[in-house]
Amino acid sequence: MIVPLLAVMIAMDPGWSVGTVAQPDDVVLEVGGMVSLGDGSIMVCTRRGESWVIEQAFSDEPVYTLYADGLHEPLGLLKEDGWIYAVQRGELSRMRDVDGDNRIDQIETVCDDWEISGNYHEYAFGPRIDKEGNFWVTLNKPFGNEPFGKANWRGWAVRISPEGKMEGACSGLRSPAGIEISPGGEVFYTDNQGEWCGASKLAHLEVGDFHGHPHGIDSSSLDASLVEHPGEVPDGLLMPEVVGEIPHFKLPAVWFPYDRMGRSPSGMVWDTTGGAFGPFEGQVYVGDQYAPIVMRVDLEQVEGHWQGACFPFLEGFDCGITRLSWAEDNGSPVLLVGMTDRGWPSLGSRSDGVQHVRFNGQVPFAVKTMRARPGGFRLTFTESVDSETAHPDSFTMRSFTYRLHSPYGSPEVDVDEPVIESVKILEGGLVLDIQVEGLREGYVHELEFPGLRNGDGDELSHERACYTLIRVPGS
Amino acid sequence: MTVPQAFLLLLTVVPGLLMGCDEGGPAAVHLPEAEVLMAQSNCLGCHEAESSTVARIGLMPGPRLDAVGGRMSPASMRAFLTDPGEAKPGSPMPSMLHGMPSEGQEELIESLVHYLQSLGGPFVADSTKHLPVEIEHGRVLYEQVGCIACHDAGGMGHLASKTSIEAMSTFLQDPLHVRPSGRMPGMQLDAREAVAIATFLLRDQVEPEGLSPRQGLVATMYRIDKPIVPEMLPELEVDHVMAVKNIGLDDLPHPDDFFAIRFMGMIHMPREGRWGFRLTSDDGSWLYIDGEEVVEHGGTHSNTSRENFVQLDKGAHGFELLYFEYTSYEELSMEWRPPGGEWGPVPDVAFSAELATFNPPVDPSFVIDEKMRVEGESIFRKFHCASCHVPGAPSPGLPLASLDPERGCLSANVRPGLPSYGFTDAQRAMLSDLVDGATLLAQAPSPGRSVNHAMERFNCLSCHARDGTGGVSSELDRLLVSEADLGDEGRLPPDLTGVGNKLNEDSIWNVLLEGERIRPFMSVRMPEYGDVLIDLPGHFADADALEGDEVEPAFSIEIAAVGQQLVGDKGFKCIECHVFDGHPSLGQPGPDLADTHERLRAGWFTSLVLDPQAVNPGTHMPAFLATDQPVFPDLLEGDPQQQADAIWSYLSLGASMPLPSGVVVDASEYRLDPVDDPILFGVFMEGVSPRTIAVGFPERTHVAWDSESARMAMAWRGDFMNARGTWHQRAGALERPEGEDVLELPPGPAITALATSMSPWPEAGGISEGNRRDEDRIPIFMSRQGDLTIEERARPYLWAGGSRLVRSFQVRSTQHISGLRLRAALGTRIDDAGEGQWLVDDHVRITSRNVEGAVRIAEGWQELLLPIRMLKNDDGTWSGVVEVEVLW
Repeated sequence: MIVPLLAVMIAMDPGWSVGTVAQPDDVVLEVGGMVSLGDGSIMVCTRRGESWVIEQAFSDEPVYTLYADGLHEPLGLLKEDGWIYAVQRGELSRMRDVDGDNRIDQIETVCDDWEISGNYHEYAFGPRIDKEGNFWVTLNKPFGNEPFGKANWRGWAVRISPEGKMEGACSGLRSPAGIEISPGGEVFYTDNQGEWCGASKLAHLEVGDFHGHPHGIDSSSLDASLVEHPGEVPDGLLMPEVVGEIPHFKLPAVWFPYDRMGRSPSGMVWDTTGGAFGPFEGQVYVGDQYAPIVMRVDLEQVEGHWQGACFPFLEGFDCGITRLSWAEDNGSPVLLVGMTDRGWPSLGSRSDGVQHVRFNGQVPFAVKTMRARPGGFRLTFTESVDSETAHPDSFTMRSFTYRLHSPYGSPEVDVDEPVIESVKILEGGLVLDIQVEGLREGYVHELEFPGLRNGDGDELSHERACYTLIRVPGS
Repeated sequence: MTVPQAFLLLLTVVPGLLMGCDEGGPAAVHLPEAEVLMAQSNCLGCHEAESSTVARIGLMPGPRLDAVGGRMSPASMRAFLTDPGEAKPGSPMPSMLHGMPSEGQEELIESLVHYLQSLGGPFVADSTKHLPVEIEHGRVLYEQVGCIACHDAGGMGHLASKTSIEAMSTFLQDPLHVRPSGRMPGMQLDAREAVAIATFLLRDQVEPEGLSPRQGLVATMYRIDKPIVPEMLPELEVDHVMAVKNIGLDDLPHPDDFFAIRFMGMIHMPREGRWGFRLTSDDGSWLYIDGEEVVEHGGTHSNTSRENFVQLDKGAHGFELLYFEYTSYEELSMEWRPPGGEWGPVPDVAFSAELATFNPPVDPSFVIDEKMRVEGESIFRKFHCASCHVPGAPSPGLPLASLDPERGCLSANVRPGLPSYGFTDAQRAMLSDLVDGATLLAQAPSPGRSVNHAMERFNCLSCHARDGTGGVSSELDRLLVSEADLGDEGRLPPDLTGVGNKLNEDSIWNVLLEGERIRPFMSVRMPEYGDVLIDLPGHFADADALEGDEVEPAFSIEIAAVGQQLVGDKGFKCIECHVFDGHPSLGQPGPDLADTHERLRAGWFTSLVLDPQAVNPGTHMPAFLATDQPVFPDLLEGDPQQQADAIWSYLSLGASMPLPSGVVVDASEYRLDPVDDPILFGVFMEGVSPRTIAVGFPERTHVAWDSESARMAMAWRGDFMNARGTWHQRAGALERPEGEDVLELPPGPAITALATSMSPWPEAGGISEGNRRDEDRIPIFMSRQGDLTIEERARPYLWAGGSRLVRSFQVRSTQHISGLRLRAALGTRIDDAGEGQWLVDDHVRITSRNVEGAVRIAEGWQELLLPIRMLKNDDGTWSGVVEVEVLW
């Protein structure tokens, strides 16, 4: 029996409403991957190795069909060329329903060149297809009670040719729970803080990068590696200092300060809805496995490095989030929010399921973008700021960075309070340029706006914005 | 009344027995009562006898004393040694001190006490707190599991001065460890039950003032370093104990992480009815009422809820809630829902903490005196205490055959230094006759007599009747209860008349020696006596089994299918009253039908189903076959005998038995039960690889495909898999088959091209390429070796006594490949059984219907190889097929 769940308003902006995909009692949707099949149908693969076709997913009585079982903890789905691609623990596979009964008839191994030793934390995420048609998969390192077997390519992002040939593209990843290709064709991933990953982050993946975790670096010596061995990784340096020590060490695009921006970022999607999902077209939405929230990230490329700001966005979902995906319902974009908290702490009232979010047209008062400029930042807003409040006293700023070290997570270190020197009002209050004394490259610049108001005297719908300043333009 | 007491009484008040003894002359040597008395007095512990005599009579040594100092107080040792019969009525322990001056006695006893206290002692124990309801729970258990079949209903008052709750409950969980004689059998008690019974037996240790009720609960805080389950409670480190008003963490100081709290007290229900309880916690929590688990919400998880409902009387009930917090956020709350009401908080006034403090009989002034200990040890030796108390000790007395009954232990005046049993004259006469005719005792008794001897000796007759004697007393009858409404048959221990013809020997063994419980719904439990009963299953079989009743009816799959239908809800609905392979019955929970064939003899089963009342008078089992009009006239011509045979044939499928229609599959969250289509399950699998796809079939025969090495790695029967290790929490466990008959298939690729007939079989080769489903949704696994693609389908079919596995292979290639072979088996010995069959290591039968196989020897192993012939297809490609059946 399917119990219809009522759509609820979430305690956030009134601009978005949330519903839940009704779920039969005997189906457990510990979401690993989701993909839209069109016409209100979606496919959801679960950590139990099942893949479900859910037709009329947004109605009170969706129709569930077990498409596949026996997959090994699949954590990502992709629809391409008539096949459904799924990444399992040990392989990238593609599946097909030939006779149209929504049940799998064939599954083929595309690539199984990476290794697993049998540790629960050896997850694999993806796949995503880049501009050249290659698949990208990110591979967790093992975790928990040692010893676990030593397997190659753990902690790597691998690139797989359409023919199934694998190359090690980037190393030093820890728990890369989300991977996505930007509309511009660039590959990004999210990582969870822990050992050798001082803070959760969103980072750009380019062939040859080392992202800081030494667990899997020995695979650099294998033929398929495209990454130079980083040598011994120094334990305890400030992140900006590491760049000088390890030339191909990649700093992230965005750090997510602990607890203020979730704890464990996971799946993400770019807003490619052309405004149909609200005013944040072109930004990235990022889920969090611990906090049932969706954050938003605005990226820009500065001096060749992708960087940007993260903002609180949607909150109050039922469970920690693993996957975000787009679907369509009656021509409107629907953001699918896939959830599971099995095996890690999470807030929320449930342990699994899929929720869906729609924009209902009410635009909140929010900082739309935060961009770096020489000597400061440019903020754009969804509605005009009350010019009376557009002065330096309305802002506070804190800056800090993290250590690259072996302990689990890093505190915020080398903390400073840069001074907001001036605020310049542009475009009738839709844009503010703030001049800041004390910008530092390689540091998070966390901005709060306690005094800022719109014309109605409202505060911003979110408390802060955190800009990860790796490069200052023009410096 | 204890066992020996019963015998003394019996022998005292039934002069007829003694008359027989007096009048019968030498034949009376065989008086069964005498042999039982000889066994229970452990005469053969001191007096050597023929091994056949020992086998006939048996030994009943006393308790092992190697750790007695840790479980018995000095005072109770003194009292017992002074007068065993007085301190412990019915004890078979003889007096060793008779005829000795009393002042010397005291000194001697004190030395023995010092020596015995040095063995694992001296006795120390802390006070412990328990809910008074536990005492009551213990009393109920004491009565209902059957302790009172041998012991006084009121418990044993002397125990309070003897031992502690901890030592007592440890003993109760495994009495055979201390008392290997089986005199005190194990009652299959878990830790919680053993503690409850211990609180009942030692209730005199409670201080009266410890029982004043007050509002609130007692909370015990523990430190933990990993997530816990309730079974770990005894090992947890107590941090502190405090009084609290209600369930929750708000007013209760606690660390951020790594702690557990056990709340204990009483909960007062304002009215009778079906009450709901809901636990909301982060992380795990468990609720018990009156010692029964009501809500289980274990594991590490976020702040989620679980609820359950339970019928409760008005008034006070034992309350216990266990909670733990591992890391991160911690939350705990409890709500209740009155019958017909709404969920809400439980008010403070509903709780009272009334804990009983048990003070063990510790004597702080007692210190082991080395000199006395040494003296005691020498007395222990001098009295030959070891003969009864130390396993394997030498026999100090004269051999049985050379005893003079007029002297020694059987004389009217036992001289000092020898054990005095306080035998009555009648008993002395009876034993003297036995000793006189000791040579006759070396003869093997009839099986029936051996059964009777064991049943007398271990007091089986207090619970079981056999051949018109024994059975429960009216007092016991009144106390024994059952969770099932199956009449006396479902409540009282079974009549054992002819049991050796009903049950096969193995199943009697399982009950007597493996602790198997066929009727877990009965409150009374079959005790465990240990190895002393190893001969009894054979004696039952020899005494009772009727020739011909072991003959199995002819088997066919079609007939078994009729049996399956008859058992299910479209047949006689046997599943209404019988559990089936662990799945609950629809109504009353009668014995598990899926075990029937393993337990029962064929002839007895047929007699039962054809006329239940004749075989088992009073049974609730209906006579579904013995009707004037057949219920299913179209099945096997409606013939009762054939239909009975069909049911038996179906039940003979063992682990491969498909479930009958109508069985409600156990809703356990992680159990995987293939019902219609095969189930695929991707796992880390022990002995295979971390990339295994297990395939479960409704025929209850299953296989595991190893994607890592591209081969079928394993097959087994019975239950498929339990996914808990893969689906619960962080999981990642190495999974194993849940079932039985595990068959490991040869390592390496199943098919390869051998360059020459001498080329060794490769250890590896082939890469997995996925699978496709056939029209029955059965996966066909695909692999590749260079240009060669191989498809394998493994499919089970039911077969007499179980199932067989058919492995079908199809190979394809763009060009002809010569030397292709299937390695159908690998073993230490493969015998050609003719007609395309081979027997591998005496337990696996391989059949190839079309292809001639050959066995070759390879490095100490034997391999069965089948050639694969490739044929050219119309499109210019080449292909070939091969198929083998595997029966194991």
